[in-house]
Amino acid sequence: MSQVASSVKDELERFLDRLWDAAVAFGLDPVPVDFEIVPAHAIYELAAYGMPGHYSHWIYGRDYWRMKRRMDSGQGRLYEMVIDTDPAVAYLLDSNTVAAQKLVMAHVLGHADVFKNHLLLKDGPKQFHHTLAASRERFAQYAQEYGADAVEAVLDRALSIQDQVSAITPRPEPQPRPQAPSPYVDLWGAEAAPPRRRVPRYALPTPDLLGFLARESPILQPWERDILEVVRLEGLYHAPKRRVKILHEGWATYCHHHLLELMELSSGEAIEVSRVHAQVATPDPLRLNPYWFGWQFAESLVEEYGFKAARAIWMEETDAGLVRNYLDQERMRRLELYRYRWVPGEVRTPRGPLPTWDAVYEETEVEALRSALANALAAGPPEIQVVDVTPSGVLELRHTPDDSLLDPEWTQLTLEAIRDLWGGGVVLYDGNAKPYRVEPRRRG
Amino acid sequence: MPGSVSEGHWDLAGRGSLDQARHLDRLREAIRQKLPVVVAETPLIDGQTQKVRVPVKVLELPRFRPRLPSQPEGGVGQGPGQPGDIIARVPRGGPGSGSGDRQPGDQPGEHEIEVELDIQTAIAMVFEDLQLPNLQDREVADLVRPRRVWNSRRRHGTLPTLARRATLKEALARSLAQGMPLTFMPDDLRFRAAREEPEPVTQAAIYLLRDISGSMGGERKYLSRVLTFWIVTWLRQQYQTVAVEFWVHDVGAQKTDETQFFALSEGGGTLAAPAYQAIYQYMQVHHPAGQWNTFVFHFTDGDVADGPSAVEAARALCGSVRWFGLVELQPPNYFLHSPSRLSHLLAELPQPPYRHVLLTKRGDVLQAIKMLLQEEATA
Repeated sequence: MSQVASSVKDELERFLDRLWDAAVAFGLDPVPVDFEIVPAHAIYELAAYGMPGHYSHWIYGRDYWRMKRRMDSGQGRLYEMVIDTDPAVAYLLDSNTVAAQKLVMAHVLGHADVFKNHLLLKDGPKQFHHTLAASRERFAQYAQEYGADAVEAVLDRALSIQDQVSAITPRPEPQPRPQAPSPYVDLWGAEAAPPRRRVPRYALPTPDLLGFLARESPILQPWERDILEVVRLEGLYHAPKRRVKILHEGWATYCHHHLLELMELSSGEAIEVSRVHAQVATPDPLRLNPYWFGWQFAESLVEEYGFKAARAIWMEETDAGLVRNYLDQERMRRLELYRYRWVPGEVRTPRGPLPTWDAVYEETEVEALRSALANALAAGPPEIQVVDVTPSGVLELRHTPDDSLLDPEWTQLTLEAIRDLWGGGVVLYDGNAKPYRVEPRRRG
Repeated sequence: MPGSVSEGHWDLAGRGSLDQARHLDRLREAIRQKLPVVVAETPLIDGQTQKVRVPVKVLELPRFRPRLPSQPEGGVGQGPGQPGDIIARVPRGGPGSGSGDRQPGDQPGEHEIEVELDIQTAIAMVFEDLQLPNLQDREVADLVRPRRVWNSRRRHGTLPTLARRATLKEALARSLAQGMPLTFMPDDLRFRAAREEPEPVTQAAIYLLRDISGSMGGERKYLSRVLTFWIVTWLRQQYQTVAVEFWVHDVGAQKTDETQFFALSEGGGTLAAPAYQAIYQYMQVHHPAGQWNTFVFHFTDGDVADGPSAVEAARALCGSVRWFGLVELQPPNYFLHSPSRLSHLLAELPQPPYRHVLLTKRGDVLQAIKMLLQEEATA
C-alpha cells in the first residue's frame, strides 16, 4: 500500500518538475508550491479553518462537520486546498486519481501565479500561518489561565465583527502644544494644569471597528485585546481575497487547461483530465461559476490583447473591476450571460397546483447587466464606522450608506456583542431607519 | 525551484472534531428552545421510533448583514436561452409545508439542519422542561403484591449466597465463648435469603377514547396521535404497571387496538354518552376503582349530538376515575361558541377529576401536555 502510494508521490514529483518548466515557458511566474497529499478529513479541516495553525473555535468545528456531511454524502468534492504562503502550500486529496492530481497541480500553479503577482495580494503577509500558530499557543494559555469559556466568549464577540476592519487608520491631528507658562506665574499662582489625556489612536470616524475596540475599549484586559487584534489581522488578511475570487479561479482554470495541453499525458489520463475539467468548469444557469466564467473571460482577453497584456490586466483588476472595464457586448454574447428574475408561478401536479418561483430569462442590455453584475461583485460586508464617543461613554456607530439597510434582528444581536466589548452603551445610525440602541449591561 | 510533493503531514489534525464537539454542546442548547418541535414529532406508542429528528437553525454568530429583500431578487446566469424562457423552477412554500414563504436561491445563514436525538434523550429533555410534579399515588389499601427482598439469613443455602460477615460474626462469638482461637464450623455458616414482603402496587389504566366521526381526519388525527404518545409515556414513567385501552366511538363505542385506533375513520354523527357508558361498564369489570388509578382521555373535535345525557354519563365516569381529560382538537370556528359544544356541556363536572384542553395547532402541543398532565392542586 505505502509502496503504491510512494510511487504515486514519485511520479507526481517528476511531473511537478516538468510542469514547472512548462509553466515558466508559458509565461507564468508562480511562487514555489509544496504539495501535501492528505486524507479527505484533513482537507475538510483545512477548508473549514482556512489556514494551518489556526486557533480553535466552535464555528470552525461546525463548518468542518457540515462540509464533511455534505462531501461524505456525495454532494460535491474538494480536490484541493491552497494556502497563500511563501512557499505556497497545497493539499491534494489522497483519493484523487493520478490524472486528477496532475490537473490539480497545474491548477494550483495558476493560483500561485496570482499569489505572487496580483496587485492586491503580492504584498500581503506570506507567513500568516505562523502568526496564527503563535496566537493559537497564546489562546491556549489564556484558556488555561482564565477559562475556556471566557476565551470563547471573547472570540464569539470578536468574530461577529471580524469583517468590520480596515488597515487604513489615520491618527488624529496632533493637538497644538499648550502655550509656554507665563513668566509671572509665581506671582499669582498657576492654574491647575489640565489633566494629561491619552492621545487617542484613531482619527474619527474610522471604519476599523474591531481595531478601535481592541485599542480604545476601557474595559478589556490585555489578553482580551490580544484576541481582538488577532481576529482583526485575520479579517484584514481575508478582505482582499474576497475581491478576487473569479480572477483566482478563472486564472487557475485557464492555466491548467493550457498547461496540460503542453504536457504529455496518456490517453487514459487525458480522458480523466477532461472529465474533471468538465465537472468543475461548467456554466450555471442561476449564478456565475467562477471557474467557467473566469476561464472564458481570460481566454477572450488573451485573444484580444495577447497573453502578456492580458495577464498584466488580470494581475491588477478585481472581480468587479474586470466586469466593469472589460465586459462588452461581444463578451456578453460569448459568455452567454443573461439576467433573470424570479416570478411567482405554479405547476400542475396530480395533487393540485403547486406554487413555484420561476426564474425567467430577461431581455438583457449589456450596460444594465454590466453594472448589475459589477455592483453585486463589489458588494462586501456592510461598513460600520465609529463616529464618536459621547461624554457619557456611549459608542456612536454609523452604517456607511450603500443600497441596503441592515437586517434589524441581526444588527441588534451584533450590537450586543459590541456592547460587551465596549462596556458601555452603543448606538448605531443606519440610513433613514431609527437608530439602534443598546444599553450598557448591568454588572453584578 | 518548483517546490515539493510530500505525504501524510498536515497541521490541525483532529482539531475539527474537537471543535465540533463544542459546537454540538451549543446545538443541544438550541434544541432545548425547539422542544415544541420535538414534541410535535409523531412517535408511536410502542416505541418503534428510536430517533427524533429536530430541525435546528444552523448556529451562527450574529453579524452585520443586509436586510433580506421582501421579493426574491434575480441575478445573472450563464447558458443558452431566449428572453422569456423559464430556466429554473423551485417550489414556493405554501401553507402546511411549515417552511413559510421561503425564498429561492440560497440564503446563507438560513439553512436548517436536522439533529438526530435519541427518543429517550428527547423524552427526558421534554419532561425536564415541562417540570411536571410526580403524581401522588392514590391510596389503594387492599392492593398489595408480594415482592422478594433479600434481607434475611438462614443456616442452609448455596455457596454463592454465603453471607461472609454474618458467618464471621457467628464463628467469632462461638470461638470466644469456647475460649478457642478462631475456627469455622459448619454450624457457623449463614446464608443470605429472600423473603416475600407485601408491597403496595401502583398500577394505572389509561383509557384513550377517540372520536372517529368524519370530521376527525388529517391534522386532528395527527395531533391526537402526538398527545397520546406523550400522555402514555408520562404515565408509564409514573406507575409500575400501565394498561392502555384503546376505544373509538361515533354513535356507538368499540374497543380496538392501537393500529385501528389511529386508522379508523367513519362518516356521520357522534354521540359521547354511549361511549362513556361503555367505558364505565368495562372499567367496573376490568379495572375496578379500588385497585387501579384510572385515567380517561377523550379526543374529539367537540361536535357531539347528544346533550345532557353525555353530562350524566360523564358524571358517572368521574366518580371512579383519577382524571377525566377532554381534549378538543381544532373545533371548527363556527362552533366555538355553540352551547352544544361538548366542553360547554361538561364544564359543570367536578374539577378534579375533569380537565379540559383546547388544542388548535402543533406549536401548542407542549402547553397542552402540561395542562393535561398537571397534578391537581388539591391532591
